[in-house]
Amino acid sequence: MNRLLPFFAAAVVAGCAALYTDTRFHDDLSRQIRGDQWQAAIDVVAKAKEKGAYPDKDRLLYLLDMGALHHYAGEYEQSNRYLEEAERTSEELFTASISRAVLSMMLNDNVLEYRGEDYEEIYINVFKALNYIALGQHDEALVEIRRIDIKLQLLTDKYGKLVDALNGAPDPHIRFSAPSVDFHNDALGRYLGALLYYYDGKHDDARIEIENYYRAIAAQPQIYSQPALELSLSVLDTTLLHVMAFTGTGPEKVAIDFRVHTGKNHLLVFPAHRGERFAERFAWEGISEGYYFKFSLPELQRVNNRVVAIEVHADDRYLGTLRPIEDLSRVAEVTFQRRKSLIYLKAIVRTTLKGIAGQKAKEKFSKDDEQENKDQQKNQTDKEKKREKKSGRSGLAEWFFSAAVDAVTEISEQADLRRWHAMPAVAHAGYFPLPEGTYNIRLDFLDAHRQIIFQKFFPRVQVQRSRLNMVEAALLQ
Amino acid sequence: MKGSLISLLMVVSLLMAVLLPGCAPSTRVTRIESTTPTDLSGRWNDTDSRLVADEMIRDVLMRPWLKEHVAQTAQKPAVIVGQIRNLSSEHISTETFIKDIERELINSGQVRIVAARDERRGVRDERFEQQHFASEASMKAWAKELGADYMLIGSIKTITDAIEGKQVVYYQTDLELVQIESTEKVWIGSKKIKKVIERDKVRW
Repeated sequence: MNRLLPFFAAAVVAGCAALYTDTRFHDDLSRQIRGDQWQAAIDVVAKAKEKGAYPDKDRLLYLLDMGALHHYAGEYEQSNRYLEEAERTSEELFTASISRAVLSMMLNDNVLEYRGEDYEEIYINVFKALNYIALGQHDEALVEIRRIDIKLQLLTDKYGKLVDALNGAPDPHIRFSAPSVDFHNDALGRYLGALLYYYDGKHDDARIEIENYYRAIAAQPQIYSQPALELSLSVLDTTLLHVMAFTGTGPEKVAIDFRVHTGKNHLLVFPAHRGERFAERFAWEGISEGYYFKFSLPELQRVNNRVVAIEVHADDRYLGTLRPIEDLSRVAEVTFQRRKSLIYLKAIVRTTLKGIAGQKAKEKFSKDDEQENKDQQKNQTDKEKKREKKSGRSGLAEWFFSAAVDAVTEISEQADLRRWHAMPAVAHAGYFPLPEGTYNIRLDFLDAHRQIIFQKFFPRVQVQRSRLNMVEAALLQ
Repeated sequence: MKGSLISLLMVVSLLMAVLLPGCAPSTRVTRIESTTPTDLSGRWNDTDSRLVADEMIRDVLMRPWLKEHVAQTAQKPAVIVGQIRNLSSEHISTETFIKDIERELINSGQVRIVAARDERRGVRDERFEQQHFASEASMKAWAKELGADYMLIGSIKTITDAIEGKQVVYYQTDLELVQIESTEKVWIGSKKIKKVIERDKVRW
C-alpha cells in the first residue's frame, strides 16, 4: 500500500487546479481588452469564473478585473460595487491562512490566497475615486482619497522593518538584501487628491496633497523620473478642463525555469536557459553534493504599449497633449522586485527540501525492495526465481516509484502567474485652460508613427469655473 | 516506511482540507433585533448612526434655544435637517443618519420637522396634480407649506491612526442649529466615537 502512495499523491497533485495558475482564458481576455471590447471582456471574466478559473482563493483577482473592466465600460456604479467588495476582501485576506502557508512551503505559491499587491490596494481607491468623480459624487471621491492617504502611511511604516525581520530570523540558511526604496507614495493618488480638495474649497488640504505629489516623485526615483505634470494652487485657480487616460496593459507574469545543483555545503541556482555559468551560490550548511532539482519562478514581462501620445481637442481645436503621470507597470515591477527575493528564497528552500526528501524516499524504496527480494528468494524455488528474474518486476516497480516521486516534485513546482489582467500600464493626465462653456471634446490616441489609432469623443462637456470638469478614457492596446 | 506513510497521509489530508471547495460552510441566516449592536468590519454602522443621533438630539432638546423660542413665539420651532457632509474616510450613508435624526426630533414632540428639499419636490408634484385631478373639497392649496425656523447642518469626520493589523478610528460628528432668518447659530453639538479595530495576522 505504501508503495502506491506516491502514485496517489501524483494523481492528486496533477489534478488539482489550485496548484497552478489557470491561464486558459488569458489570451481571450487580453484580446478583448486590447480590442476595447469591454463588455466582451466582462463576459470572458464571468465565464472564466463559472468554469472555476477564479477559485475562491483568487476571488480578489476576479473583483479587481470586474471592477476595472466595468470602469472602462463606463458602468461606474457596477465598478464601485466590485471594487468596494475587493477592498473588503483585501482587508479580510490580511489574516493569512496558516494551512495554506504550510501547503505553499510544500507545494507552491499558487495554493496561497491572492491577497493583492500594495499598489493594487491603492489603485482600487484610485479607480473608485474616478468612478465617484464620473458620477458627480465628489464627497464620496474624497473618501477614497482619504483612504489612499491612510494606506500610503501604512506602507511607509511597513517596509522599513521587513528586511531587518527576515535577516534577524534564527539561523537563516540564506541571507539576502532587498531594494532599499519601496513604493510607499503614489503620485497618481496624490494628484487626484489635490484636484478634489481644491475644488471642494479645501485649499490647505490641496496644498498638502500637492506637496505629497512632489514628495512621491522625489523619494521614488526608481518609479518616477521627474514631475511629468506641474501642479500648484495658482495653476488650479483658473477654469480648466481636466483629462485623464489609461493606456496599455500591466506587465504579464511568465514562468522561468531554474535548476538547483547541490555541492558540499552549498547550492548552485541558475536559470535553466542560461546554464551553470550564471549560477548563484548559496551557503547551505550540511547539504551533500550531487542532487539536481528544478523549479519555476514568475517573472514580470512588460507588454508593448502602442499608445505613445494622447492629444486633446475641444471643438476641433488642439489644446495640448496629456503627460504620463504614472507608469503603473513600473510600480508593479518595483514592487515585484522586492517580493522576488522572498519568492526566490522560498522556492529554493522548498525545492531543495522536497527534492532531497524525494531522493531519500527513492533510496529507501530501493533498499526495502532489495531486502524484500532477498527474503522472497530465500523462500522461493529455483524455478520461481528464474521466472521472477525474467519478468524484471522489481526493476519496473522501482522505476515507476521513482517516476511518481519525480512527478510529485516537478508538478508541484509551478510558478504563481496570477495577476490583475485589467490593470493599465500608464496613467496620463493633463489640464487645459478654457473659457466657461460647453465643448465637444476629442481625444486622439497616437502610435509611434504619430498615426491616430483610436479616438474618443465626449459631446457637450460643460466647463465651469471652480468645478472639477473632468473627462476620462482608456485604451489598453 | 511507516513514518513516511504517516507524513504522506498528513500531506494528502491537508491538501484535501484546504483545496476542496465543497467543504466550505453553507449560508446561515439568523434574525436578530435591529437594535442589537453588530460590529463586523469595524466601520461606521447602523448602531453608530443610531447612538449618535439619539445622544445629539437629546442634547439639542435640553439647550436654552428651545425654551427661548417657545417663550417668544408660543409655538414649537420648525426645524429642517439640511446637509450633513461625509468628510470621513468611510462611505457613510448620511441619508440613514439624517433619518435617524428626523425620527428622534419628531418623536420628542418638542419640534416640528419640515420635509427636506427632495421630499418637498415630490410633495409639490403631488399637490400640482391635485389641482387638476382631485375634487375641489379635497384639493390642497398652494403656499401653505410650513417654513422652517431653524436648519440643522453638520458633518462626520474621522481621524485614523493605523499600524499593520491595528487601526484606531476616531469619529467626530458635529451638528449645528442655525436660525434661518438671522443665520445665528443657536446650538453646536459634537459627539465622538473611538474604535479600535484589530485584525488577526493568521488563522488556521
